Amino acid sequence: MTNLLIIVFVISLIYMASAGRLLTYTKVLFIQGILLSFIALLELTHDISISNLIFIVLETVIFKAIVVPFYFSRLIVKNKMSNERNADNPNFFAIFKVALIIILAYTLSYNLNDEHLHITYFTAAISAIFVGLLMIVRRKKIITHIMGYMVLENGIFLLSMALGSELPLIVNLGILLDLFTSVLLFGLFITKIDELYHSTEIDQLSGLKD
Amino acid sequence: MDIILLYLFGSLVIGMLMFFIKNRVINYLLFIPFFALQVLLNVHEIFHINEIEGYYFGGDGEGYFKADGIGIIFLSVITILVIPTVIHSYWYTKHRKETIGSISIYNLSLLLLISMMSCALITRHVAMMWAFIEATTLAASMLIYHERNHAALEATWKYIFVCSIGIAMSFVGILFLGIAAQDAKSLDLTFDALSQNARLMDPMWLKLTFLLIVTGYSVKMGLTPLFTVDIDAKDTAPSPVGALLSGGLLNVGFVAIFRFYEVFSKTEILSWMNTVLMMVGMSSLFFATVYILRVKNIKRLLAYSSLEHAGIALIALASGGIGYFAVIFHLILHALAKSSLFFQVGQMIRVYRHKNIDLIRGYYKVNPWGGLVLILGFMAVLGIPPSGIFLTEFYTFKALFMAKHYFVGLWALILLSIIFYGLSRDLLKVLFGEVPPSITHRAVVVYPYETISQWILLSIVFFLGLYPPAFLVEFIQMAVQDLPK
Repeated sequence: MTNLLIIVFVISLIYMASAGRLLTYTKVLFIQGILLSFIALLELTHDISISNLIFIVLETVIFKAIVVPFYFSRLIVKNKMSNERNADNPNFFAIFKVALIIILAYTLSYNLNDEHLHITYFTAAISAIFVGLLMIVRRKKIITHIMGYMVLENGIFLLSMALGSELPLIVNLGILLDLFTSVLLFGLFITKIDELYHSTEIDQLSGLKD
Repeated sequence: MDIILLYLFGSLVIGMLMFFIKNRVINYLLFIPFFALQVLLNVHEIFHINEIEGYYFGGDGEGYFKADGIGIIFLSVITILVIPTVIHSYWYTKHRKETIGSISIYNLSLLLLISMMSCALITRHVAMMWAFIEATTLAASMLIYHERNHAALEATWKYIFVCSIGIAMSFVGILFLGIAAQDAKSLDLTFDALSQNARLMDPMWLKLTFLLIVTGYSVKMGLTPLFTVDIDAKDTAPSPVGALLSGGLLNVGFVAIFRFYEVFSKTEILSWMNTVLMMVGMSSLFFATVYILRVKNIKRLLAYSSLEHAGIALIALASGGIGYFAVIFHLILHALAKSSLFFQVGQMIRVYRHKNIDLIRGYYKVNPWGGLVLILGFMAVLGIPPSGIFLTEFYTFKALFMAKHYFVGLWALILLSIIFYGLSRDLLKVLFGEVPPSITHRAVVVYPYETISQWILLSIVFFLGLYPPAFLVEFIQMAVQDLPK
């Protein structure tokens, strides 16, 4: 069952990479949040205390699946943000890149051949981390950068889950990472940047240089 | 009474008071109890060196804090910097005629930054250190955003975003360390336990961990690859904050990398780690050189000089032998000298209302005391004797050549000479020449007494270079005793 969920998670990554509409990204983030909370529920049930489990699952559902995607979609609709342009045209190349990332991640985890490593988890997590980085590097909008960061964080959350049965502290720390950076990233800033620049293209932020 | 808990709780309460009491005088007076707490913590840790403390969450578990040699050294550096930073912040806000609202947020963030850095230095648990360093990002970004203009917004945005990526990377590093620790059948992630079990772990995981940790914390120490946001931060943040970032946060980043280096140095990956550190150090030196030659902004010049010193520190650490002693001593001296320079440059910008070197001329005539501080400060960071940095750089090269790293030695020598030329060229431009007419008819706004704290910091730098006290040498030796000989 967990494997199936992880496979759906990986497919959502491919879908995300090929999409260009900002609202599609928020939908994928929502799906990923739901998937991750189910994975957490299935994987950690027997290993950690019930209160901790409830905390982790609730955090994942509320935060990753509801608050973040809905906040973003409201922002997109309210500010009438245009969609991503000229990042990866045609989309075929984007799919090709993500496929390459997944293959490389699989090869890596297969070759690591460590008895403590869940290959499926590791492949999906590493793929998500690199897809997130790819989005940050290739896309032009600040909001897409933050969503790329969220994908990266989803990957990290998955990776921490692979360890969660042995080290529950690590999963809680991952949640701390989630809350903390997100408060920093958009709670404070996307509104301010929007106010000042009336546009959220990253190219506008190029005043500081030597 | 648990002093660390008292410190954390006390700073929280004082911070809240700063936020809610909207009175300028009381807001600054609140730094007095905070400084008392800071000194209390520092003295407590000196008397309880290498004792495990902080048994929270369950009681019988592992303690979360232990102040060792390196932690106490850099904690003391931060404690020394508290009062000058607060005084200069007071002058800074006073001359900008800031409202009490922005002052209270500034003071709260400053207090948070200092206390989080202090705790990050004395914790012995990988995860706790990570959390404290993460918290410094929050405090630092509020301070970088202080001036509320476009440049501040851009710098803060970049700082937050790249710091978040750095934090995420170091978190992945910790996860990999967790996988490696399973090989050793021990899930205790304290540095003590890790260094006992490091030999049992798979070297491949350790290498991945080390790479991710160095990349992740490079944004805090201001090294390649993520140094650019750090430069922007030091440029746009108020000068007293720039001093604290160069004099405090840089050392915290170094300690984070150092602790992992110390743990992994017991394994076979030691020489591989040294290669990595050498490469990071050499590239940092290279970027510092290139930018120092072309940069026109005096604060960015100082920031790039910090990049240079961070690079030298890593090279010294990687060269081993006497380099271990040199790196710690170097970072102490650099912290004091660079922060006094940042304080002074803040006052210079107040006079000229500009950061551009081409528009700043004749500073020595306008403000002789400040000009003298600038000369001595540049002497200190350039490593001109009797500055202690001359001694540490000399030891670094000695260690490099003794370890037969001739290429690295030559590379560093050439780049340091170019940096020497670049910085002294800019210093002479700024100090002498025709005073711009817009300045001459304006009354001098910097009084000699405003440079007292800078004089004190610089005299410590020169004094330590000439007569390093025995207790300091002892602490430094204690800090590096676990490294391979």
